[in-house]
Amino acid sequence: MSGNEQLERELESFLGEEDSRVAALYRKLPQVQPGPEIDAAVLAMAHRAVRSSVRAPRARWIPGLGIAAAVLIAASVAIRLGPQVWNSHLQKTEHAVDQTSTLPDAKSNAGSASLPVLAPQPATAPAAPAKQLSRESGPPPPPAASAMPQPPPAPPIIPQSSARVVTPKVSARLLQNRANQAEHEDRAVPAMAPQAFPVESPAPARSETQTRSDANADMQAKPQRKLNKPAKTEHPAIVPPPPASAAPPAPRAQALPPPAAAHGQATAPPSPQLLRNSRLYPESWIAAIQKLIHDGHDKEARENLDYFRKKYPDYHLPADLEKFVDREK
Amino acid sequence: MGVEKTDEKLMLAYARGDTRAFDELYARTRGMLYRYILRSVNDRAGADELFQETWTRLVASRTRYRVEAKFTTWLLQIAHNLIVDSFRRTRPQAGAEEAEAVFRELDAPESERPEQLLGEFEQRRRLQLVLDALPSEQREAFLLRVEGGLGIEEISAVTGAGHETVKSRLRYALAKIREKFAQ
Repeated sequence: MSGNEQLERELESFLGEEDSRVAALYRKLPQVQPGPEIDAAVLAMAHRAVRSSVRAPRARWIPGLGIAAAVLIAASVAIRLGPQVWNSHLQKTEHAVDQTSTLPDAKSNAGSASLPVLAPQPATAPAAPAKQLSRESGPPPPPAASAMPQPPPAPPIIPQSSARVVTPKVSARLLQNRANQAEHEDRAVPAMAPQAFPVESPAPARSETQTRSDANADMQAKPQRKLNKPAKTEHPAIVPPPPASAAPPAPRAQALPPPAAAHGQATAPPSPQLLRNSRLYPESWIAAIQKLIHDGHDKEARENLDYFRKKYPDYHLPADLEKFVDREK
Repeated sequence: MGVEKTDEKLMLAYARGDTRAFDELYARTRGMLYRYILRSVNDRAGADELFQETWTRLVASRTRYRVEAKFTTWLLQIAHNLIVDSFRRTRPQAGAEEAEAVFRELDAPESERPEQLLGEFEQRRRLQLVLDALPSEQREAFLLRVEGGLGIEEISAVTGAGHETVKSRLRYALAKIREKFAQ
């Protein structure tokens, strides 16, 4: 038998279950073992790994925590933006609250327990607050239109400080009503205006409502400041309100003096039609002017157009109106 | 009498968090693994380190364990990879003087060798020296067979060598050992 064959046989024996000589010899080698300290270290490591993996479920809280944080952020954003969305609603509510809070002060100053704060106001007294006040005090107030013809009470009766309290909460509707009243008033009435309109000066009123939260005050004041802007002019009684509370996609309207002042006719009252038209959207106003021209009311058309161009200097007039302007020149 | 659990079942139980299963598995395999490593690296301190590192790797990857092969194959594969890395870092691990002594003994005629006159103790010592003198691949294959009890396919899986390559390595290892002890 060759050496190779013997080797192959031994290999087969070595690889098989048979007890080869080499394997038997190997098994006679010392059966060394790891030291006890190594055993302890390995077992401790294995047990520690299992214990730490049992604690691992704590990580399941992380997604939950993330979701909670996201909800919290969303809620805070909603709280921040909510008042803007519900601005008009809040304004109305604030009106009622404000009037109620100022009522005792007004009462003490006026010396009459039953007299509402705004009751002694001149013809410019707003209708909306009166309505809200009526809801609080019970008896329905007279409509604003019916109050207008009444002679205004003596202004000194109402101290300015108490009257100012109402001012920062003047809404767009309030200004609209004032403008409507001014529209119906004669130009002689402006003598009353300085007494009536200090009520609407925003600065002192803001100082008295400082107890309110900043956020609310900010949100309330922003639209009001916008609306009150015209009141700061020299002719507050007849300041026309902006064309619309929601700004139309039209050229930026400029704060202008009333039409009469624009014409340099301090004494000549503007036509009611002009006042009415000035509150229209620019497009509607242009259409009204075109109708005036069409109907042959060139003078009124010219008056409207002049005021329109002052109010909307950037507005591109239609060709027919441009021609009309040229022709008038 | 309860049926003894296989190594694979014990490993799966440990992967689920049963530490007693690990204790039993460790008791079964610790000696085999340690000897395989020690005889591969021929250095007690290095063997201790590699032994612990092998178990650390096993514990770390316990949840990924699947019963696709014998547990000992997986365990020895981890150890083998660590040993190979160790060789790459610290070669040559055997002392030159010791290796020279082995070669001198292997080269000497059998009749002149003193071990002929010695007992079994000396035979074991010589086997150890022969094993140390084997090329690492042949020694690995031999140890995986005699210590781990792995077959050709399993040794092939552990070492990454082909079936015939493993067989050839074993053949050469046996030839050298036989040359020393057969007569």
